[in-house]
Amino acid sequence: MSIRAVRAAAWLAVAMGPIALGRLALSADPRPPESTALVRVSKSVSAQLSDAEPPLAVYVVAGSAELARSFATLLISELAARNLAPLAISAPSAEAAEAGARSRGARSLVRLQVALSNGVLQARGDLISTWVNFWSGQAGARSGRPAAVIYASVEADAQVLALAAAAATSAPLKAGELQLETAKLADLPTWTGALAAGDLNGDGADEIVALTNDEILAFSSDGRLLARRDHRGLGDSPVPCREPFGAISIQSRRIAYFSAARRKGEVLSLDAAGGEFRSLGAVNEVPVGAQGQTQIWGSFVPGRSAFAPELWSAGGERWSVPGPFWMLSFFSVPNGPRALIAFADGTASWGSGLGDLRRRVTTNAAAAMALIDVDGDGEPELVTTSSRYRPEADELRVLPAPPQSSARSASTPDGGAPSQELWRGTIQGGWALQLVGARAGAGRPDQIVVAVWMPDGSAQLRVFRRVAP
Amino acid sequence: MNRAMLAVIAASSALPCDDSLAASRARYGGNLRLAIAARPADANPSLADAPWDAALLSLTAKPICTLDDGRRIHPVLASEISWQGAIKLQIALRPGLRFHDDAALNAKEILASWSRLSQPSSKSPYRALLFAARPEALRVASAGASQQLLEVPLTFAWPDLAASLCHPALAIKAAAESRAGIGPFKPSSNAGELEANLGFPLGRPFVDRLSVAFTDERGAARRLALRQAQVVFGTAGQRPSADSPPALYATYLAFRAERVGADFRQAFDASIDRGDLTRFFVPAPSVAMNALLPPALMPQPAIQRPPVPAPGVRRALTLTFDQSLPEQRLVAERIQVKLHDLKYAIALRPVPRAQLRAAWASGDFDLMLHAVLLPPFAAPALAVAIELAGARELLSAELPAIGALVDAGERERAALERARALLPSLSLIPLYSQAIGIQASSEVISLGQDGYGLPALDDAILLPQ
Repeated sequence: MSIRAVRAAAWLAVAMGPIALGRLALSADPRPPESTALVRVSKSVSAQLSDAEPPLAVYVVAGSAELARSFATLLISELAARNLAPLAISAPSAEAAEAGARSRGARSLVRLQVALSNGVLQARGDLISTWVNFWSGQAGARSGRPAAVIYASVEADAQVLALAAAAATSAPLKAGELQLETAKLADLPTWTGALAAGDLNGDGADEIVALTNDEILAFSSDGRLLARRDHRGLGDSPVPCREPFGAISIQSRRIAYFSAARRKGEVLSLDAAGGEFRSLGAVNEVPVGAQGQTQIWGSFVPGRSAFAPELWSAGGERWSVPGPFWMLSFFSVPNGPRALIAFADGTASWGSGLGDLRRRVTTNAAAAMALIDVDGDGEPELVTTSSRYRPEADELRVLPAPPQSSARSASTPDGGAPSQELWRGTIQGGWALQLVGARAGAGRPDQIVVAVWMPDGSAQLRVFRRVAP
Repeated sequence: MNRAMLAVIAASSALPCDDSLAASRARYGGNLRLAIAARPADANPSLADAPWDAALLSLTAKPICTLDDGRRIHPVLASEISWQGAIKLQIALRPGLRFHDDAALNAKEILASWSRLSQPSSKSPYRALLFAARPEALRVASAGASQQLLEVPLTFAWPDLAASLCHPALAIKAAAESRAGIGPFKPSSNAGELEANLGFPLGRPFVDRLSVAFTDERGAARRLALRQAQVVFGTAGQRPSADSPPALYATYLAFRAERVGADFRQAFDASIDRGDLTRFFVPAPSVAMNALLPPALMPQPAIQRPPVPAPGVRRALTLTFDQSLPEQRLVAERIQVKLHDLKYAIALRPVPRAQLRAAWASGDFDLMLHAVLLPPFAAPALAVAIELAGARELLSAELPAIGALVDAGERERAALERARALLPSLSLIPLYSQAIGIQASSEVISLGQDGYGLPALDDAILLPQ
C-alpha cells in the first residue's frame, strides 16, 4: 500500500448521523442520490456487511482523499441505517487499522480500498472481527467470528471522476507520469456531428454542447441535460452529409452552430434556469472555431463531412489552408496561440495560427484531435483518437504537443511529429469522431470529452480526466 | 452497424494495413465497379424484385422510406411518417426534392407510383402491401407551399403499413419512363455508369461513380479475380447462417387447383424433397421453405412425406416460370421429371417476368414458379403470400384481426399462426428462399445491408490503392 494511499485514508465522526449525511449527499448532486455511482457502490457494500457485529469500524483508502472521504461518508450513513454503529478509523495502514479499531471499542472492522479503473468504480476489501480472546495471551489469536471478502463495482460517473481527479501540475509530464480515468457523461439518441465546450453560466467550469442531425443539446460538467433544441426548423440542406457533421463554436456564452444537415446555422444563448436555448438569430456561415477572440467562419464541402479550405473572420481577414479539413483546434498560451488541423485526406498539421499551417506534418491523423491542457501546466498536449476507420477498439492517446517552432522546421522527416506517448487508453463500445477539452475549474487540469458513436446508432459522451497514479 | 458490415471490416482490418491508407472518417471519392450475374432488370420497381435487381434499382429510386438491418424505419423521400390515430397515416414529404432531370417530386407522383401496383396492366402481388389503405381516399393535403402532406386513410388498423411502404417494389418513380426516381445515385451521361447524387436527402454516397456490368456468374467471378470489378452481385456464397443477410426472396409453386387436381399437393410432397431441391438446384445463399413464410420470418416445420397417391388420369399441365432466373429452369425441370411418374405431363414455359406477372394476374396458368421479395415483417409478408396464392378475398378476413393487435410481437405471433393455419388451403407450395450472394474485394469496406438483406452500395467506401 502506498504512502499516498495511506495519507488519503478518510475518517468521519459518527456523530454526524445518517440523516445529515444523506442531506449532504443530496446537496452535492441534484440528481436522486441512488443514481450516482458512489451511492450504488456504498449500498452494495453495506448490504454485504449486514451480518457484521457492531460497533463496526470503517477504514477506507483511495488514490484521492476526496474520493475516500466521500465514499466513507456515504457508507457510514448506510451502515448507521442498518444499526451497525459505524465509526470511521484513520490509520497509516490496513494492519494498523485493526489495532485502532480495537482501541476504539469496535467489535468488527471493514477495510476497503476504493479505486477507479477503466471506467469502473470498485470497492474491495475484507471484514474481520476485532475481538481477541483474553486467554490467548500474547498470541492475540483471532476469534472464529464471521469474516468476509467485500467486493462491489459499478460503472463510474462524472461525479466519481471529479472526486478522483488530480490537481494541476506545473512541470511538464514525462511518459508514464500521466494517468487518466474515464466515466460516462451522457447518452445521446443519435450520433453526434459536432462537440464543443465552453462556460455558459459563468461558474468557471465548461458546459458541454453536442450537435446531432436533429438537435443541439447542452450538458453540465457532471452530465445533467441543461437544454435541448430541435433544429430541424432551420430547413434541410440541399446537399446534406451521409454522416452527421457540423460545427459548434462558443464565445462569450453564445453558441454558434451549423449542422451539415441544415440549410442554415443559428446562434443561441443558454437559459439554464429555464432549461432552454434562446435563439439570437440565424447564420449562413459555418462557425469553424475561434482563434482567441476572433471567430473563424467557413463553409462545408458540399455533401462531404469536411470543411472547405477557405476561412474568414468577421473583420475581413481571410485564410486558405492546404485542403478540406475535418477539425481545427486552437489553444492560447502566453507566448502565442497554437493551432492544430486535421485534413480530410488523413494528414495533419500544426502551427502558431491559421496563417502558419503550411505543411502536413503527420500522415496518420484522426478526425478527433485537439490541443488540450491535460496535466494543467498551462501548455497543451495533443490528444487524438485512432486514425483507423471504425476500429474494433478505438483508443485515446495523449502526446506532448510539438514545440511551436517545429511547424516551420523541416529537420525531421515528418516535420516534427510527436512520438513520445504520454498516455494511451481504450474507448469502449464505439468510435470517437469528436473530442474537446473542457475546463474543470480553477486549479484543475482540463478534462477530455469524447463523443462516441455506438454501433446501434446512439452516441455516448465520455469524459477522461487526470487522476493520481 | 450490421453483422455483415462488421465482418467486412474485420476482414479488412486483419490485412496488413498501411496507416497512410487509414482514416478515422469515411473517405469520399472513387469509381466503384460492380458486376451483376444477371440480366438488366425491368425499370418497373414491382418487376425488379429479385434481390440483385432491387439492390441496383434502389440506387436510383428509393421508396419514401427504408428499413435498416434492425428493421427500423428511416424516412427518405418523406421527412416524417406519423400516425394520426389508428386508421390514418400522414406522410410529410421533404420539400425541394427533385428528379435528376430537375423535375420536382410531388405527392401526386407518389400516389401514382403506389396505384401502379393495382393497375390491370401491371397488377402485382405487392399490392397486398397497400391492402389496408383506401385507394379512393388517398389524398394530398398540402400544408403550405414549402411542404406537402399526404394522408393515407385505412379501412382497418394496420400498424405495419408504414414499414410496408419501405418495400423496394414501392419505389417512387415518375410517370415518364425515362425518368429515374430519387436515389443516392443518378444516371450518368456514360452508359452503364451512375454518379453520386449530391441532393440525396440522406447524403450523397461515399463513392463518386458506380460502373455496372451485367454478365453471368463465371464472368462476374472472373471480373472480380482480375480486379475489373470490386463488388459482385449474384455469385454463389455461403449457405445462410446466423450472420447472413435474411433470405426473403421466396419462391413458391403456385397452382390452379381446378386444373391440377385435388391430390396435387400430396403428389408433390410425396415425390419432391424441398431440401434436396434447394441443395442441388438453387445457388447459395438459399434455404428450403416448408412453411408459408421463409425461415427468416418463421420456424420451419418438418414435412411428413405423405404416401404417393395412386396415379389417376393423365394430366397435361404447363409450368410457367421466370426465364431470367436460371435456377427456376432447373427447379422446373426437376418438378417435371419427378411428377412425370405420377401421370403429370408437364410442359415448361419460360417467360419474361412481366409476362409471368400478367399470367398470374389473369389466372392464365396451370403451374407457376413465382418468386417475391417478402417484407421482413410477418404480417405484411403473410398478406403478400395470400395475394400471391390468388386468395385476395382472404385478406379482408385475415388482416383486420392481426392489425387490431397493438403490440408488434403479438401481431407477429398472430400472423405466423395464421400462416400455419392457411397453408393447406392456399394454392401455393413454398419451395425455397434466397438472399443475394455478394463478394467484395478488400478495397471495399463498410458495405452494409438493409432490412431486406439488400446491400447498401451507397454506404460502401473505397480505400485508396
